[in-house]
Amino acid sequence: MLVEETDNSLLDPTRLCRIDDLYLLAKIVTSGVRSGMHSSMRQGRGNEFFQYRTYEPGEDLKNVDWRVFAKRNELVSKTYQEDTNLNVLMVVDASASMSYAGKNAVCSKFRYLQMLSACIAYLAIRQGDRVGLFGGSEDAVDWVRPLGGRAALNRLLVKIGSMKPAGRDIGMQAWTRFNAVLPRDSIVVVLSDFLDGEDEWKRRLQFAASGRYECICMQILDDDELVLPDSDALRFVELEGNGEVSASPELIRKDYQIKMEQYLKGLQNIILHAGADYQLLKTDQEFGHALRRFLGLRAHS
Amino acid sequence: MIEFGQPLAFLGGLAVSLPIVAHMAYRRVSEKRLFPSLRFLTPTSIPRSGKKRPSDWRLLLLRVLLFVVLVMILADPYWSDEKGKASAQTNREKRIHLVDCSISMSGWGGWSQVQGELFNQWKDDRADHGMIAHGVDGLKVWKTGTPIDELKKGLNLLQPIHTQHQPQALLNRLKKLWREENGPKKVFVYSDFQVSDWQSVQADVIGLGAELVFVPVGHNNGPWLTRRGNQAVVDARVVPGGSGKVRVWAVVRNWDANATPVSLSIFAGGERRERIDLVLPPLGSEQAQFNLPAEDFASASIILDDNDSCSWDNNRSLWVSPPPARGFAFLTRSPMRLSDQAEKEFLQAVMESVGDGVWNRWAEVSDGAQFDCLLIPGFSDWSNKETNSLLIDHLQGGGTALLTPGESYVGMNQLLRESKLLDFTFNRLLQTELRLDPYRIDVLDDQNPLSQVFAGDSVRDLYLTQVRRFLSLRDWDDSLECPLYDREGRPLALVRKFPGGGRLVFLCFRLLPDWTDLPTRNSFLPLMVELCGLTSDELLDTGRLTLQSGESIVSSENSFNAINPGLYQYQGKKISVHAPLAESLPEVMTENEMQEVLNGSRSKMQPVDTELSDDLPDHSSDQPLWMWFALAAALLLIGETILSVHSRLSTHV
Repeated sequence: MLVEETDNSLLDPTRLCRIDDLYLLAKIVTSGVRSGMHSSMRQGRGNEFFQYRTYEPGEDLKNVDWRVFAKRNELVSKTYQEDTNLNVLMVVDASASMSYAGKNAVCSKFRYLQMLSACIAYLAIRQGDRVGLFGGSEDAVDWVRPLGGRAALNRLLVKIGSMKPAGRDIGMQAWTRFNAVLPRDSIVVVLSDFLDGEDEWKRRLQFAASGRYECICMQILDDDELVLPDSDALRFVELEGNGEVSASPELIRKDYQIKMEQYLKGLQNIILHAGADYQLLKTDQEFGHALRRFLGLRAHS
Repeated sequence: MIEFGQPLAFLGGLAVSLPIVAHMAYRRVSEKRLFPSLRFLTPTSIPRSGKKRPSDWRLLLLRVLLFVVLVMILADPYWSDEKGKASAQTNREKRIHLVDCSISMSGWGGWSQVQGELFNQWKDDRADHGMIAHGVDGLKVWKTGTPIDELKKGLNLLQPIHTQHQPQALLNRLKKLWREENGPKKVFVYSDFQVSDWQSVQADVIGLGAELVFVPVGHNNGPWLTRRGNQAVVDARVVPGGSGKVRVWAVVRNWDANATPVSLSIFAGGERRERIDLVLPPLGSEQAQFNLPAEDFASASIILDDNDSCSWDNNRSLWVSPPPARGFAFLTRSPMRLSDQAEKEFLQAVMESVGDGVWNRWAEVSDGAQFDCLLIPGFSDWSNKETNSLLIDHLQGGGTALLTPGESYVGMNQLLRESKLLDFTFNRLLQTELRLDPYRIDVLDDQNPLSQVFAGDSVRDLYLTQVRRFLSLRDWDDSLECPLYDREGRPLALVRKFPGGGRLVFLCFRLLPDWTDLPTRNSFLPLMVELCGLTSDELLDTGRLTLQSGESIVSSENSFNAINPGLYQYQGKKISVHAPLAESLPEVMTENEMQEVLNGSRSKMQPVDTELSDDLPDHSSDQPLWMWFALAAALLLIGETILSVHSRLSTHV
């Protein structure tokens, strides 16, 4: 099993959130995730050397590295990273609600999103894919066209690092435009808390119904949002509006949890019916599972 | 050790429970929490029940401490120095005796009572005694602890002095003396508590931590009651009494409620010269007059032959010889003409009328005698070099001279110009034949020095003065003053002032009936006085001075201190000193008034033979601590504010 061989300590957000450099962070994370995943890499004909591996009988002798054989008397084959036409589009939610960090959380939801998206981008670039970004908030929508290579990765990581959560969620108009410009053969990774507009997600994800696209929706939530914070009485103030609710979490916790559970189930159904995958992530959860879900999705495409 | 003046205030310590209750009942409804979505939240009522355990121990502790400190402030904390208290308890009581040595104490038997009371006090050897009193040459202080023998010796040297009592000085010295004294203290005040002495005194003897004891003496009508029976010579003056005589005028005052027969005598030259029997009305005054030869006696004494309670105010001495007059002289042509003679008589009458309200201050001197004012009627070309130099020397020596024009106006003008006394041009002699239309003196402007004298009704007489003839002058020197002019603006008088104080007055008209009616007018005397400056302080100085005991004359070389009543001569002045009239008054302060004066309302009035009181609490060594507790409360309040703000902010994130 791949999971059993993973060094989970490298994927723990408690440690990773201290690393500001997203490239370094992504490299560390993916080095932990990639071990034992060679077969999933697209190795084949290409221009970029990928790695050596033991020669297997019947394999084309053109791949044997004879210089290595001369030195070490061992037959090894060179493998090359295959050039693909796959695009990875990350849809990033930078609305104000993403700035929430519970009292016991290691980081805010948005910081978790930044780290995760950086890892996905790194992984995708390492596998020869092109990576782009669509996201932001209602007031500021960013669109980074999918590009491959190290330079594109750096630009993307800088963009992700500079985003600040503020305002409301991206409007439907922007989503329509996104649907229009979305390149063919793309993997779309939607990173959001999905806390509002669940009815609109069906329209937003209508591209997922097409066989040219793979989509996974990763819902990032704080533990407080699932079980409510611990306190006798609180005056809740909405992050994306001016609404206020005074309540005793002790009294409403049970009811809240039921409602939240129902909502998550409903959301999951909507996403699944739209033809996308769904993954719930908590901010204290390590990145391995999410990345493997991404790689698994990529393997299908 | 900390002790508390108001231990009952600790009941307020129950208030400490307030912050605890408030803390436990705290509902945190104000704790704000930003949250991603409110869609699954249902508003609920906030639980009424408080917390079972306090959550912010630091804040709770601060608030409890704050209440504890406030309660301790209310309980009046002070630091009780047990050592100091113990030593204070072993200290002997300190007693200071303030003795009134004013002259009024010599009446009504007051001084002998003071001596008796003090000797009684000094028999009590359980206390340290001290004394403060006024001596002849200033304040006398015997500190507490002075041996009794020295105190007795000092008391024997003390005697009532003729100055008005100044109790404020005694109390100020007492404050200075006892500022840092600890232990039980008592202040004994021995006085007749005469109103005039004590009514303006303000002191806080209780504030010194001392007990106050009043010892009223000389109250012959009962303690704190107005005294009976005093008659006094309250005033005596000497005035001219006709030719060769002076009149001595005296006023006798009776402070008794009954009419009192007395006899008043005047002693001069060591003998009784006259005696007058009087019946003084109750609480009233009577006057008496004695005649003495003007030149025979330099001084006299008025003595009241009375056996009243207060004998020191029964006589008064005074200088009776007239003060020396200033001299004036005439310089006239010889032989004099009738017009000169008439003018001289007018001027002589004026000069002899100049006085200080009592004595005539000017007298004509014979040839060769010193004079201050020179009068030259009809100045003309009869004057020669000798008379001119006399006039110039007189003016340059600070003297005053008055000129009226003679017949030869041109010659007079030339003479004055040549001698550089007055520089003007004689124009012509103006004269009117119409008696109903004479020349009039013009209205004096505000800048004119005469306008200060001639104002109101008095100025009318001056303006009605008729001038029928006068010399018209022109081109007079700017340095000359022109205090008087006619309604056409022509000068009627010119004044020249000399650097040494000399003054030359030139009248443009003669003081004769066919020239003017000025000599017959009331304004003549004041006009001459002002024009010639005859009322200057120096000229009016009579060389007589009346002082009250306690007053002094201070000069650059030495000073004269008036202490005992009597007659003195000092630097050429004749001085008469008499005791202050206020000391003769029989009115005394009441007990309550004295309490107020010395903050005695807080004091405990005790009989004179008071015993040492050992049971009174002694707080003299206690240091109040409320200020430190207030400081602590302020610091706690600041800490509480910081913590509570910090706590509130942290819940908002």
